Amino acid sequence: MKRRANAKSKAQSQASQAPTSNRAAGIEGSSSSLLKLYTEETQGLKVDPLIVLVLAVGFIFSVIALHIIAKLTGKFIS
Amino acid sequence: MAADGLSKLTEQPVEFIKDGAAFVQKYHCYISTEPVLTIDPTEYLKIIRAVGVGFIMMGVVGYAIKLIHIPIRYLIV
Amino acid sequence: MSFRLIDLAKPFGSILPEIEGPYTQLNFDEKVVYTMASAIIYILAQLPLAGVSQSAFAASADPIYWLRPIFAAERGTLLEFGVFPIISTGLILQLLASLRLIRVNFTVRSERELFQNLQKIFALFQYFALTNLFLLSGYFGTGLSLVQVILINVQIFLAGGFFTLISEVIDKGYGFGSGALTFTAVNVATNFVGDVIGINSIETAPEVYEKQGALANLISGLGSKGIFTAIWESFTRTHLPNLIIVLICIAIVLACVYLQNLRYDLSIRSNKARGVSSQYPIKLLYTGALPLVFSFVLLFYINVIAYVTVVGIFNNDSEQLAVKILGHYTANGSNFSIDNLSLFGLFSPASSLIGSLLSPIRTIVFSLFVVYTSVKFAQVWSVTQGSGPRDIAAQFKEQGVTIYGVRDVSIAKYLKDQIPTAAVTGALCLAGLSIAGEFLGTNGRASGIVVAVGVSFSFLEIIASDYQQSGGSQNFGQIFGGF
Repeated sequence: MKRRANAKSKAQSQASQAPTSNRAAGIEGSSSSLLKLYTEETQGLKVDPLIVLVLAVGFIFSVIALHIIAKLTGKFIS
Repeated sequence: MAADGLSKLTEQPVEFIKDGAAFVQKYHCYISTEPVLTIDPTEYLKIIRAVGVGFIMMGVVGYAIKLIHIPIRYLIV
Repeated sequence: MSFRLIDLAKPFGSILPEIEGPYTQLNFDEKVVYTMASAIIYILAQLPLAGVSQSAFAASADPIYWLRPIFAAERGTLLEFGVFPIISTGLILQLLASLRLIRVNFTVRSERELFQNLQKIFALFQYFALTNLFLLSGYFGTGLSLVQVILINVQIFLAGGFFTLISEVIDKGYGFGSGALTFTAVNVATNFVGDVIGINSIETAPEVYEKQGALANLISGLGSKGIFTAIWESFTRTHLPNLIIVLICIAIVLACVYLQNLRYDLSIRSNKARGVSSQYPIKLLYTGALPLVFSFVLLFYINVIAYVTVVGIFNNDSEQLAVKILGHYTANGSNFSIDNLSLFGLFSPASSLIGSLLSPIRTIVFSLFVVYTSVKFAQVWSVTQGSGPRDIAAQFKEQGVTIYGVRDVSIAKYLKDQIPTAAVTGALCLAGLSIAGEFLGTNGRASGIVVAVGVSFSFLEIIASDYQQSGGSQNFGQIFGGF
């Protein structure tokens, strides 16, 4: 009985000691004054940062193109 | 529903004032004991200059890019 | 095994795009280039949405205009919601994890990955949800065709996705500090420069054009209107920023930097080397501007709910009882605000000083809400993010450092008193500064500036340490070294 209570309190104290954030676990993450969301290498679809920047510019130009098409054809806009 | 919302509205500030009172007490004892709130005036001036210059630099570059939007908007709208 | 929120992210693990981390530490110049490129793309993306009829759109008004600066959102553009979904997701999920309301074991890598994927999915979901809530409420005009609805959705969602990834680029160490907050800082700085020297003209009334910048307006007015009229108008115009607002903003910058520099110095000494003592600073703004951002995240949600219920469900019909209780939106230029005393009206500031004085209940409730949420957030955040009392006590122990007049065993307890108090006081000061700015009628600019200065300050610290490491040998390094 006592041992079980001991184990329980130990588990509880461990739970209260467990890190509550990336930084607290000693890994890069949000600090107390800066918010970071994505710092971990995951098993996702890997993309090079330069490619993302270039694609983003491409996306912006495609929106401009869409505007011009819409203006020329008078479509999309009621 | 409205009554419920109202009681919640009154609950929160009361709790807050309690917290605030506790906090002010604590704060006073800090002022009277060891750690003192300090500031380094020369550093303050240095940092104000750095932050100011950084802020204006960011802003001017950003605004210059925003100016490009004017002809684009004219073209597309 | 009970259900855990992070398990939601499991099925998406392999399809979510993910930025490849840098293999080696980037040098200072590369970081500057990546940060600047990201910021420039952000500003470039503030293009009008295609497929939105500008005339129908002009008829609707903006219910969240005063929340835009802090989240770098620009009305009617691809960045309609700015980085709000990213910031709100990060703050809320990480706060819930700190409070152990979401169970994440941060010591296990796979759990951290799941948590990160959850943050990404939740951010993207919010872009989608906000777009459609606003569509349903008629924000983008009424009677839209299916093609228009799809176009608007696709544009906002893709833009959101791209900036989620670009903020990941910065977060992962290609840039300085925090991705999403960088965009806020750059956007606030850009709009501030625009408000002061903006030379572009804006139509304020039919056939009447005024310069956007308060100073530019004054100078152009001096030539055409005569000195006194020009000066009077540049201080009092209401549709565009006036010189009073500019001066308030500058005062807020100065006050903010002052607060950022305040610190408690703890006298520490080394156990190893006798007689070696120094100061360990605990910043007053221990949690930076994050508590204020958190308050504004909550205010954003409340105001979106208000807009959707009042305008989307009850059609903003002032005859209905529900609208009388919840609040009635009135258009003021392109700003849509609740001006009567009502439930939702309590959660937004009045748009001018006179307005704030005329409705004291609203003023008080709004202030209390901001202060209370900021303070509560600072209390939790300051101890859970890896620089809390326990972490610093461990750090001291490792380096063989003690605080004067405090026994080794009670250092953690001593810091437990100091750190949250500093954080709470700091949060209180920033909240006060932002509220004061809002009541003077800066329409969100004050809070934006408080956050932007907080972020710039963190950058300065990172840049200074990076610059010292690189020895100042690099091109941009030399430029920054000049300041």
